[in-house]
Amino acid sequence: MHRRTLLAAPFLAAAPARAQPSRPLARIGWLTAQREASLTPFLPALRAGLAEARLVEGRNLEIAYRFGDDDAARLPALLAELVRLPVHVLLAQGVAVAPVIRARPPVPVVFVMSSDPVAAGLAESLARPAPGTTGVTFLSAEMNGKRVELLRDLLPGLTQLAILANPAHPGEAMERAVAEGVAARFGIATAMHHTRNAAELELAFARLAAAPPGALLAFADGFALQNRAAIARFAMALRIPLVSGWRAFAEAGALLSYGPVLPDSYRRLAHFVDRILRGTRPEAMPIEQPRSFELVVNQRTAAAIGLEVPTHLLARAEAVIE
Amino acid sequence: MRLRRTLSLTQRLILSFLGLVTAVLVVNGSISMWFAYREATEAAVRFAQEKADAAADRVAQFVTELEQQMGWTARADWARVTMEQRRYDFIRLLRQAPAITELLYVDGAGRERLRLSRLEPDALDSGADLSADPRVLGAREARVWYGPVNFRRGSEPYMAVAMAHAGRGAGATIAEVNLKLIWEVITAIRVGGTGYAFVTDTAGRLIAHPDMSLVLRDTNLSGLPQIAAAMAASRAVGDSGRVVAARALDGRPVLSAHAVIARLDWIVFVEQPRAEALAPVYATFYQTLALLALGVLLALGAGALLARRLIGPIRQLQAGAERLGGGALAERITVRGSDEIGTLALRFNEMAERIQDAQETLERRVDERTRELRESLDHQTATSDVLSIISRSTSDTKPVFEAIVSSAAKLFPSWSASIVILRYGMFHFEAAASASREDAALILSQMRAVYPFPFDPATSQASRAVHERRVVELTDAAAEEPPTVSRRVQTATGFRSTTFVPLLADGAGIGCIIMTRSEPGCRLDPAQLTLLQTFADQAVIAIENARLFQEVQARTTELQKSLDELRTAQDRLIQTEKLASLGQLTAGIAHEIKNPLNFVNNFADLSVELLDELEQALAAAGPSLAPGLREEVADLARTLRGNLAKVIQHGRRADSIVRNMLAHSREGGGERRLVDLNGLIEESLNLAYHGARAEKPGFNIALDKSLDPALGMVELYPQEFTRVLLNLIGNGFHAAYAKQLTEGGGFQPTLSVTTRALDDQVEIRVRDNGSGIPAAVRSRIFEPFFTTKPPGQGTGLGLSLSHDIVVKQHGGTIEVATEPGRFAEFVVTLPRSRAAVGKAA
Repeated sequence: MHRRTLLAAPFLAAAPARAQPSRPLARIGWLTAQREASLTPFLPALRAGLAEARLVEGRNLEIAYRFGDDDAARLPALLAELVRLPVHVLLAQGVAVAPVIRARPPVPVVFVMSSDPVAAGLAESLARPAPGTTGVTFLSAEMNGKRVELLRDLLPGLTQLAILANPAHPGEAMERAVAEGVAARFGIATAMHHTRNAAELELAFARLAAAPPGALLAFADGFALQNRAAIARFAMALRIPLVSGWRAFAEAGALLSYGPVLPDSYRRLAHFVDRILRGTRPEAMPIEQPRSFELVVNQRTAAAIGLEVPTHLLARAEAVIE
Repeated sequence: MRLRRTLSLTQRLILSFLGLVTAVLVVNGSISMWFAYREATEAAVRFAQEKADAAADRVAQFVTELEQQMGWTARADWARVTMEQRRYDFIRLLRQAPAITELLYVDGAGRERLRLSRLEPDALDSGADLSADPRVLGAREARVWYGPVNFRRGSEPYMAVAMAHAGRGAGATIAEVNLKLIWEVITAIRVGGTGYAFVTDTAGRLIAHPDMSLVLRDTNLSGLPQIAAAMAASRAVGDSGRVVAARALDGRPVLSAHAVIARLDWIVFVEQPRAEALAPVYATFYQTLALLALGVLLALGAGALLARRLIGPIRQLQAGAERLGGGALAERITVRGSDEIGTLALRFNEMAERIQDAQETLERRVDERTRELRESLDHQTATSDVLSIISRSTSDTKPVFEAIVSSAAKLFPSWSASIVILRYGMFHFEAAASASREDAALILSQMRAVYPFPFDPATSQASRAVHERRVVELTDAAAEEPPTVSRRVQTATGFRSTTFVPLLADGAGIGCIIMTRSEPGCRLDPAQLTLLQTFADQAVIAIENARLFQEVQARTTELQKSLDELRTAQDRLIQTEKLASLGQLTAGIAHEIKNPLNFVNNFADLSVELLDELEQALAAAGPSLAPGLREEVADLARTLRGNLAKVIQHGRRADSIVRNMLAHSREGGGERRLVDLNGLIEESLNLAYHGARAEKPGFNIALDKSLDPALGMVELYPQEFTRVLLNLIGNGFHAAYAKQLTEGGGFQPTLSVTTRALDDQVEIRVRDNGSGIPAAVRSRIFEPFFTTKPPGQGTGLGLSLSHDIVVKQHGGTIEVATEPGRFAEFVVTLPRSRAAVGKAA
């Protein structure tokens, strides 16, 4: 065999190397209503995913980023800008998803959103996205019930639960309904604090400081994520446990976070972009849900607020921040 | 076929070498390829099967791990542990198995005692009755039960795994497993470079696939043949044909293998692009091809090298052979090496040498032969030239002799040739020739000076050759003692070698061909002598020819002359006979007429006398008669007298004619004697002239006499012949005068009489310049009673009688020459004597 290979080598070498065909330059647009800072942990994940698909910014990929900077009213203009550019694929995130899909832009849309696109009327079903669209959903609504349960497990005597929510976030109502439903089942009273902007957040802090609740549940959205450190500091200052959806919160000082592994989902977006650039119709690819969830416990915070995290909770945690 | 013929040895050698090696390589390659193909195909199939089995194992492993993890909760004492502990165990299970989304504990009574979920709040002792739940029933039936795959929210594939707890009446742990997590297992399975694995249930629904989207869309693959086949096979016994060639979902040709996980009723497929799966086969194929090509190249190189090694010397050999073949016989092939080709070259050289020798000999022989042939041809040409000249000049020997000497001089350039002929005892020089003009002039002058000389064998070698009838060769004329003619010639010309070839006719020598040369001691070779003898024979033939020709000519002339004379005599005889018979007839008629005519004449005379008497009587009776009657009778008597006078006149004429006619019957009237013919002619002319003038007073004519004095005395009948002359002259006068009458004064009538003495004959010509005799009349002018004169003027017997007299009596001839309108001339020839007549006859 060795001999044959040796003999065949010059002839095989004469054939052109079967290299990966270099991909033509792809331009994708990134549209979000949030500030850039709110997406800090996720964009690298997206880029990493694109790089896995041999799409590298600056080489064969150009990403036009458009940030709404918390002003949803700017989205149509930004969308038009991207369409004019033009872009091959449009990536829409969070609040921007619904207006983008409804605007039916002439480019394929890949979205990432935390709420249920079916419930939001943006897809017929998860298996059948709207024409020209597909994406990833985090299914955060259901998870809020689980988070309330986690708080109750942590504080069996919990009666007062404050919720920080951004009403501008699509699906906020459903999250709230789930959270309130579960809380009611456990006999926990809930108080909603809307935090659409920094001022409202300050106001909410002031109110909470005035009457500290037994625990704080922050609905995971872009704004909350952006202000996660402030919120965590505030909770810690009040020595109340804070729970939210995403690991970044726990890392920022929240006691618990339970939810999908977001970077995985962002990374998954790259898969869709790649497939679309290769010619797959977006609607042929069902909307995907997170594959894995993680519970992150911040023991430092627990120690700081003088709370002992039960063993079974620790056993359940995918990560514990010591 | 043609191509093959035109191929050079080099090409053939290379081709055969190439063919051999290629054939071996092809056979070897084909066999090796076949086995390699078989091997590779089997390996690919085996590989695919192994991969499918491995993939199935991995997938089964995934489930088995789940089972094992769940097994922790299924132990017999688990029914007795606290709820907290159970929950803790479940939590731990969830931690360990990320695929499990929900866990339930159902007690022996079928009530839900514990439920943990990743998404929803946990439920403790909810007491929900699940005894009819298929999961619970399944777990009771089989210790571990796997539920069918269902798709939550129409997208996420889920499967329930129910595990009955150990112990009687124990509960069961039920796990809802998110099969999406098999994706990691599936994508981790590598099949070759781009092969992949996927899982379906036995209904063909896709459970796991590297392309998640396909699974999430709840794809049913039972439409693909390989899936349908696998589904059918999974229900049957055995696992034959687990590897098939098929087309993937995207239509690419693939090698599809599958393995069934029996306890799950799942089928794990492994598909690899056919090209990739069969890459080793192709690689083998390419290797073989490469080997083949390499082999062919090597063979080509080796063939070319061998061919060059072999062909070089062969080419040299070929080139040498070609040069030899081209005639360069002196060429030698450079011999190198002592192998077969070297030996061959050596043989070639030897052969070339032999051929060269042979050719030189041959050339020499051909030259000789050619020369001989040319000589022979020259000889023959000369002979035939001479012959043709002989045939052309039959009467003259001169051209033949000249042709012979010039041919001899030309054929033997160093010799001069001449011919001498013996006539009446003397040698006469005939012709001479020499290749050089000086020699020719010299020999001509000398020969003319020496010849003719008498035949004498003692003093001339030519005489000796003729006498002895053989060739005489004289090697040096200067040494002749006593001096001969040749010596004389030698002294004058310097010719020393001389050869005499005799001309022999009927064994007798009649002349010589003499060949001379300045150098002494020279001889002609036998072939030359033979040719000269041929020439001698030809000269003889020419001489004989000439003699014969002359003889024939003389004889012919003689015969012709005799024939002519014979013809003339015959004609004359015929004419004479004819005229004689006419004469006799005329005489006969005259004789018969004479008596009656006498009666007429006599009675006419008598009647005149009677008329005298009548007149006398009338005068006597005078007055008694009435004067009128008397006058009338006298008148009648006068008329009678006139009539009678006419009867008497014409009676006399008739009498004269009859007498003339009777003259024909007269035989040799008078006597024959010698007469002075010229005198007779003058006399006759005179008589005729005066007669004519007496008859016609205005008659005049110019007379032209040209009488040959040599005429002398001629023996003839003078009376008769005078009649002839008078007749001819009279006719001439009449013709000329007649013409003068018609033409008028400008015309001078002339009559000429000419005599000429011939050998033993005399000739008399009487010519007038009258209007001649028309051609129609000419043949009849000698017939009796034929006349052109007006009736009463001629009897038509004049020329007839003249002819009778000249021809019959005198044995001469009478002929007429005439040109109508110009002249008429009568030519009379007479033999001088009777003897001459007899001779002429």
